[in-house]
Parts: sequence; C-alpha cells; structure tokens
Amino acid sequence: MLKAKINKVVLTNNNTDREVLRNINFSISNNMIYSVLGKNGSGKSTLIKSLTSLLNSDLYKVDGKVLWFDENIFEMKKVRLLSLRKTEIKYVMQDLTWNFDPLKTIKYYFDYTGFKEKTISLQLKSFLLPDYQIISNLHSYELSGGMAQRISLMIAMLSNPKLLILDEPTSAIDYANINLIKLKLLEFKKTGGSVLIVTQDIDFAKEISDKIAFLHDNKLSEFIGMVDFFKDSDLPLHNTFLQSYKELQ
Amino acid sequence: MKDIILKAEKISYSIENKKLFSNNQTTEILKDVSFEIERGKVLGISGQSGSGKSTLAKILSRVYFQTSGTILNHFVKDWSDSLSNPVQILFQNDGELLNPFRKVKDVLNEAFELKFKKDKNYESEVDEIIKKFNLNPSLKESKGSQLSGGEKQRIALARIVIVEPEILVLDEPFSSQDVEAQLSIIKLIIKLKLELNLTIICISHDLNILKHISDELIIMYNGKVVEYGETKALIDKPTNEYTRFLLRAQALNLTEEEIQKFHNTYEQN
Repeated sequence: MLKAKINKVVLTNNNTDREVLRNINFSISNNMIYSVLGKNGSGKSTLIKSLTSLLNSDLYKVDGKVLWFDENIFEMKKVRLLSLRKTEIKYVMQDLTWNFDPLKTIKYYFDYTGFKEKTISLQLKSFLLPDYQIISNLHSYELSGGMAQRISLMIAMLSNPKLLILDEPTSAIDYANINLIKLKLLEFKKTGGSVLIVTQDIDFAKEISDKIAFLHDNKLSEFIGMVDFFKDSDLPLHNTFLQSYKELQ
Repeated sequence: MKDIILKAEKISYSIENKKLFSNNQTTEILKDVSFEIERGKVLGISGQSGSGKSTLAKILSRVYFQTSGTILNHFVKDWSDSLSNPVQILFQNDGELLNPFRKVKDVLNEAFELKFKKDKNYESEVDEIIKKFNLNPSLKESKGSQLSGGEKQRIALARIVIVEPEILVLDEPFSSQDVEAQLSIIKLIIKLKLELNLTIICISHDLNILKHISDELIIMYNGKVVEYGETKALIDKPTNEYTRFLLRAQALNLTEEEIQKFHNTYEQN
C-alpha cells in the first residue's frame, strides 16, 4: 500500500546542511507488522515523520517520493493530506504527554474522534483504562506515561486506519500493558491493517514483527524476516548492536 | 549499624479536583508508602503503569509535597547554603528535560556555575563531563531541540551529576535509549555508585535491568507498595500475586482474557 523512495532528507540549520537520511527505499504491504531498530539519534523519528510530510519544511528539505496507493503524498493538496492523516495513516508519537494540549481535558480528544461515549467507554475497558467519566475529565499532565500511551493508541485505532505508525510504543509501560498492546496490534493486523513501529525495545520487536530493518549511518537496511535479523551479519554496526543486546540479557 | 540516608514513613499523596457546584473530589495517588535506603545502595522501583511511581519520585525530590507522612534524610554534607538540592531527579518525559532553545554547553556550564558559585566559562570541565558520559563532543554546540531523546537524557543526567547530589532519582532512564546506550548508562550508574558513593533510586519497567543494578526492589500497584525486599529474593520467590503476574507477563505471551481477568479480580481486592 505504501512505497517510499526518499533520496535524501537534509536538515538546514544556521546555513549549514546536514544529511539526516539518504537512499531510503522500502514498501509496506497489507497485514504486516514492520519494525525499524536503530541507535539513538539515527533518524528513526525523522524517517516516519517524513513519510506524510510532517517535518517542518523551513528546516527540512525532503527529496523523493512516497506513494500511497499510487498517489504521491508529497504532491497531495493540503485538504487531501489532512484527510489522509485523519483516517488512513495514523501516528502515535513518542513523549505523549506533550502531544496533548495541557489546557484541554481528554474529553476534547474523545469528542474530536466523532464516536459516541458508549463506543469509547467499551474501548477504554478493553485497553484496561479507567472509566470514561474519570478519564474524560483529566488533563494531559495528570496522566501517567503508560496511560497517555494507551489513550493515544486507542484514539488512533478508533478511526480504523489502514496504516498505523508507532514511535516507541513500549517505552513507558509495564509488561502487562506491553502484552496488551501486542495483542491489540495483532488483532489490528488481522483486520487488514499494517503497522510500522520504530523502537529500541528489541524484545518487543522480536515478539511482534513480521519484518525488521536496521537504521544506521543515515541509511535503512532492507526489511528482512525475524530469524535472519538475529543471525550474525557482515554489517559491523549491526553486530555491535546485537552484542550489546546479548550482553544486556 | 545501618547507615540510612532516607527513610520514608507512610507517605500519602492525594489531589483535589475543585468543583464549582458540587463537592470536591479527591483522588488518592499514593497510599502509605514506607521504605528506607542505605547510603550507597540502589533501590529499584517497578510496577503497574499509573501506580504512582513518578509521583513518588517527585515527592522524594521535593518537587511535590506529600499530603501526609514523613521523609527523614541524613545527609553527610551541610546543604543549607548550597545553591542546589541534595536530591536530584532525572525526569521521564524527554520534552521536559532540556530547554529547546539553549545550547548544551550553556546548560552544562550553568550547572558548574551552581556548583562553584561563580560565574565563568568552565570549558575544560564541560569537555571532561561530555567525555565521561560517552557523548559526541560536537553536541556541545547543539540546542536542546536538535537532540534525540536518548541524547537529551544523557545530557540531563550529566547536568544533575555535576552538582554532586547525595541521592539521585532516575525516572525511567532507559526508556528511550538503544541497547548500547542502555548498557553504557548501566555501567555509568554502577560507576557513580562506587566512585561517589551515590545513593540511587531507579524507576524502571525493565526488571531485567533492575535485577542487575538494584540492591532492593519495590513493586507498586495502584498507589500501594505490594512487595518490598532484597532484589534477588523478590524475583526468585515473589510472594505477592501482582508481582508473580508481572514476572509472568515479561514473556509477552499472555492472552487478552488472562490480562482482563487478572485486572478485574485484583482490582476488587
């Protein structure tokens, strides 16, 4: 459904250019879960933001094209792009408490989805969140990290998108909730959706993804199956990464 | 005799939702949390999301004040005329960590100014601390907004270590780090503990890591401490039902029914 061919992403700052990503080539098909692993600051978040031109165009220059069902996202009209982000490609970003407006209660976001209270409270229950009455009156800064993450994921999944893009979905939550998120994503995959995950959590990626890729030196490796990824490879960086992972265990 | 640096007795914390036309609602976030830490030890805190771990961290570092209960501290140094706090905290949200508009070297320089109580350019000290924390020296000129989550976390950690606190509270220090950085932070924590005899309170969901670094472990659920004890014993022989559930969930192969069922039965107790 999605084909990305990004030649380069350049960050311009104080009149100096820095190449953040180059030669990114991959495609996403139905019913699959993809994970991208990579070091801190390797450009993982930039990669997913560039897909639907979410990057600040004053700072970032993106060269390439991203095809969404044969439609180039970079050439879409503003209205089309907004509807794409509203219903077809949904994001759950990192650092969630800051993605909500602190002046508004969570009710604002529930209302914004256009769904009835009943539907939402059912969903809240299946995500093991407190009742609608309690949660809708909270402000974003009153949420714990794990709660914010589950609420965002729930809101993103409500509109039944075709592609879900998650940035570090497991960074602030306990094992039971990671387990729950894993089940939710697998369920979502069954209904025909695809998921692109950017994460540091190798255990989680190992559990959930069909294909996995490694981002380093501004380049994205090919998406390969799970078993192949954990074999030793000839990439030196890939190896040190796996080594640290083994040492951590 | 044990050299206790911090003793928390029955800490409770509740917030009041002020309502104009009906009675105020109070929500209890922490209920009767008690524990003590010996100097130079690492205390790990783990548990359910939303169980009040971050709130507890903020209370210990005097960002919030508890509604009831006492915290007793026995510091070695006299902190009364110091410009910094003896308990320093590393926050969880990387958006809250660093000012997006300031350069890293200015941020670190300010910490040295606080430590030595003298405004000047501490260039060599800044270089040294950057090297100690395995950071890329070119980051010095970057602004907060240009750093990745993991880099922000390490710079913020460097900043709070500069002022030489006696207790370090780390709120999910590993959450946005890659495996290599996690490893280097673990080594760093062990080094800080040995070199500076720092007492560390470390909140994390990652029991694998806590198992390695912490001497004692607290498991929290819904604002209460459900299990508290020596790390190895606690993980090998958990007595509490929630702890056992948490350890089982670590393998990520529970079904949705199992999670729901546990949630429903345990919640009622």
